Amino acid sequence: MAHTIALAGNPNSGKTSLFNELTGSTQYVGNWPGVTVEKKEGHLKHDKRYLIVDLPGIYSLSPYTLEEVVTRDYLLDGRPDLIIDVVDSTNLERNLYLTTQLIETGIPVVIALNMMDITEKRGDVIDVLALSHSLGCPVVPTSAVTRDGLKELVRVALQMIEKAQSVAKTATFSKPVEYALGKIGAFLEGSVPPETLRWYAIKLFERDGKVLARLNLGETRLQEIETIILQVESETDDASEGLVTNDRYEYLSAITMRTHRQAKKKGNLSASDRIDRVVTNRWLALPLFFLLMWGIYYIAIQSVGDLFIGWIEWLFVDLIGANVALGLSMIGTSPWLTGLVVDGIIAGVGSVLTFVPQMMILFFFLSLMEDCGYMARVAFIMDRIFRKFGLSGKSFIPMLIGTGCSVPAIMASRTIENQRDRRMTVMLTPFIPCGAKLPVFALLVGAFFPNSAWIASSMYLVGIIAVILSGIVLKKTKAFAGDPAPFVMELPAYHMPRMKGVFIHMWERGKQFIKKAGTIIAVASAAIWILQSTSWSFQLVETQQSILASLGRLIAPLFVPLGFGTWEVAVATITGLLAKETIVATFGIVLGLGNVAEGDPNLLASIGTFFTPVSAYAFMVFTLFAAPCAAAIGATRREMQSARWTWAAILFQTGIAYAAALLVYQIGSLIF
Amino acid sequence: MANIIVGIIVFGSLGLIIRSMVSSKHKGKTGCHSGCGTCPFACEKKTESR
Repeated sequence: MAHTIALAGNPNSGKTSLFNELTGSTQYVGNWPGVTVEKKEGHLKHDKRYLIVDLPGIYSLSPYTLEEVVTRDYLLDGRPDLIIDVVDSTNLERNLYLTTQLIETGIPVVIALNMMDITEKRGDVIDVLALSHSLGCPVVPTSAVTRDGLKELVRVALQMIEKAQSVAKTATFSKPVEYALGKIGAFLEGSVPPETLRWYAIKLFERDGKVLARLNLGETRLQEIETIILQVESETDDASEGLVTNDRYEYLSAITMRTHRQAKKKGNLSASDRIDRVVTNRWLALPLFFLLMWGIYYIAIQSVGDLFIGWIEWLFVDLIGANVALGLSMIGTSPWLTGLVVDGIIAGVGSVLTFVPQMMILFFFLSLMEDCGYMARVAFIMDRIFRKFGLSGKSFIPMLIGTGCSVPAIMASRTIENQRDRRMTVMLTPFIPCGAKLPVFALLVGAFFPNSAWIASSMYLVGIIAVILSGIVLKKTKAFAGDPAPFVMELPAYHMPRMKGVFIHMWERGKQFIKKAGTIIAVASAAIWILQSTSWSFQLVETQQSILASLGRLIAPLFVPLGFGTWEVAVATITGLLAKETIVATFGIVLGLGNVAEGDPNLLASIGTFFTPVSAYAFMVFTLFAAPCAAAIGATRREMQSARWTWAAILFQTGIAYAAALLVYQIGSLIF
Repeated sequence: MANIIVGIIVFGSLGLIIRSMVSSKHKGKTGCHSGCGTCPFACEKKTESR
């Protein structure tokens, strides 16, 4: 029978890194709190008998956040055989607060004293044996990054599972609290498993609504418990929950005083603090962030990334496309079928894959920024700005994730407890340019703005401005009015990026992009080519008489005020709903793009008929804001849990896209 | 003959791609084609054992 080991701990304490090391997985490791919302599972490397469960990071077992509820429900109902409590050794006392609560669940606990490499570098000393003795459970110093202590952790964990018994010491509280817990515990005997008795008693003393509902005690019993709590509260002049918290910290403070010796600081500020003085400075923070984003987009799209485009084009156009066409004609395949394969599937897929290097370079730098701790600062900076406009900084975490893909970003919004803020975040998150939109921007920048490095990066700025402006407008409506939810975020110390993780992240992104091109883009390319080659009576016709052209002409007039009112571009806006990269595939097939290297005169010649520089920028803005791809719309539907709200989001996003593109084109045409 | 063989290969491959996409969706494996390895939230229903 498989044994289950749960990984629990504070946010950003390194649980997912440890999970990856123990299971051999490559789960996403984010350097900001709240990366894991749902629990994730994987078997222990080299021993499938042990299932490791990565739980969301939490500060306590109180039921205030979704992460706390997920973790708590799992521990109480799933009853794992062991908890590995991942403790950030650089912040010992606060992390041990959760440890005391985990011990109370009666499940055997092993403490992984993580990030010991950083603690030692700081010169701090933790008496591991004394700490283990004080808490009554094994403590293993580890570093998930350097892999130190991991073997020992596994050995101790498996040993603990064999013992199958919790020997840990529970926290002791002040006399009045202990008296109350004793009395409440007596009421609970027989109705809860004995090993969880103390945990339930504490939760009842804290008036935990979810536990009260779970235990379903009778009215009389509840009254008796309430009388006990009121008695202690009047005696101590404090609320029961506050009493438990204070006593817990006093208990922990005594332990850390005995076991933890902090190094004397050389100055008042650590290196991280000194960097933060500049990076999070009121005036410098934002310009610095946009400067960095400009640099990243410049390198990814216009310098290094662009170098590779020629090779990939050679691969698809000259090598694969030309040889497949030659081979098919040699074996006597009809021109129609050859056209479908070469001008449809290969051209469509090739035009998207051309941008793989640019995308990988972008993700390499975004990963670097996240891993070193900078992106967490960006969320902090944005919180300061968002709050002024009535938005919560919590909304910015999904938006940071949205630079990769809008689907997980929309799902990340579920950590926002306030329903109004959550709905608004779901609606606004797709405004941040995701990876799939990058090929569209790169294509148009290459054609019309080869020497303007700020055009591509301006999409990021335009996206954030749109989020803020939309937030201000939406907050004034009845559906979204109200104070923003509080946002507590611990800033991780800066550290050198872990290159292995950065490369894994970059590779995974690139791999999925290629996979997507080989699946959904290939099918869409074939469909687009068939629609642009056949008439409604299924006869082979010229493109202008095709089904695609007639459909495009129906909607094209809508886009005339935006500057891209041709049926070819109109069709691309619709196919983009399937996946944003399909826009590029559509251009590749319908406009017959050949060389898409930046500044290439052929590219400008083929695409220049359909756009001017101003209308190209308007199209980029439209693509940025318009309803996201089908998968993101599906995620919106799941998170909104309402068809009405999903439609509201789609209409809002498309309305903003239309209005913004209209403004860009009309004002731009007047100026340029 | 060449048309039949190439047609079977092309449309067969496209059919298999669609089938695998539909089956992945039904399994709840991935909804966004962006991959679970780099995603903190997607594929939440999946219980993985790698």
